[in-house]
Amino acid sequence: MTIKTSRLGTIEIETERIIHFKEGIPGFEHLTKYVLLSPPELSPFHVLQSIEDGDISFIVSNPFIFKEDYAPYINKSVFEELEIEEDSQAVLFTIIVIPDDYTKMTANLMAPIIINSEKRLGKQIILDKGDYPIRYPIFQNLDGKVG
Amino acid sequence: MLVLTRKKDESIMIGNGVEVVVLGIDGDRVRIGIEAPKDVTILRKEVYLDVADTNKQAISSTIPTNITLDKIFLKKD
Repeated sequence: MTIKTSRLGTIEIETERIIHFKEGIPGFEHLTKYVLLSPPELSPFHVLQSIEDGDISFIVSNPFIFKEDYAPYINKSVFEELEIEEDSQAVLFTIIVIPDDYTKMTANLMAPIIINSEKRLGKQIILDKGDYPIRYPIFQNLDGKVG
Repeated sequence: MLVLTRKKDESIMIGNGVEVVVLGIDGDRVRIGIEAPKDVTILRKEVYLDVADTNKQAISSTIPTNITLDKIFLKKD
């Protein structure tokens, strides 16, 4: 199928790549079908694109790239809901908010997105344990560390 | 919406596994205790709304084009 997106123009989607977010994503509860796009030139970012509304897409990234010790506690019920039986089926992303000044970009570490890449099921979970911020300033935390 | 009146130390049951107890009342603040299975997520509603707001903000993010992206998260010395 072909969809028009405001971020990446007109794109061709194979229906078997559609990821189902049964409850939508907070703020966009009505949109339940997404596709994960990974144009190499955007790496380490990916685009989580709604296929029901071409104007809705999220920039996501692997949180471990910039927060190596990230260890969200995920309830067992989430694994059941997403039919995740082995760790290798699960992929974790964090939504990135990039303002005009990109050095002020933040990652939502409190509400990661977990995807079962085999069953194509996804969910944004809100961590009720631990102390991860909704707006984790990525660059402020990279600065001052020994590389 | 179902509306119930409860006194201090009284509780309500939701389904089989969730109990909500009124622990105390002090002016406009109510202390609530929640007994629920470990896999039930319990959130202050404003946290959910904050996540929703952040998501709405996130859709207007633009990826910078004037920098080398693949090294963007490399730590600085």
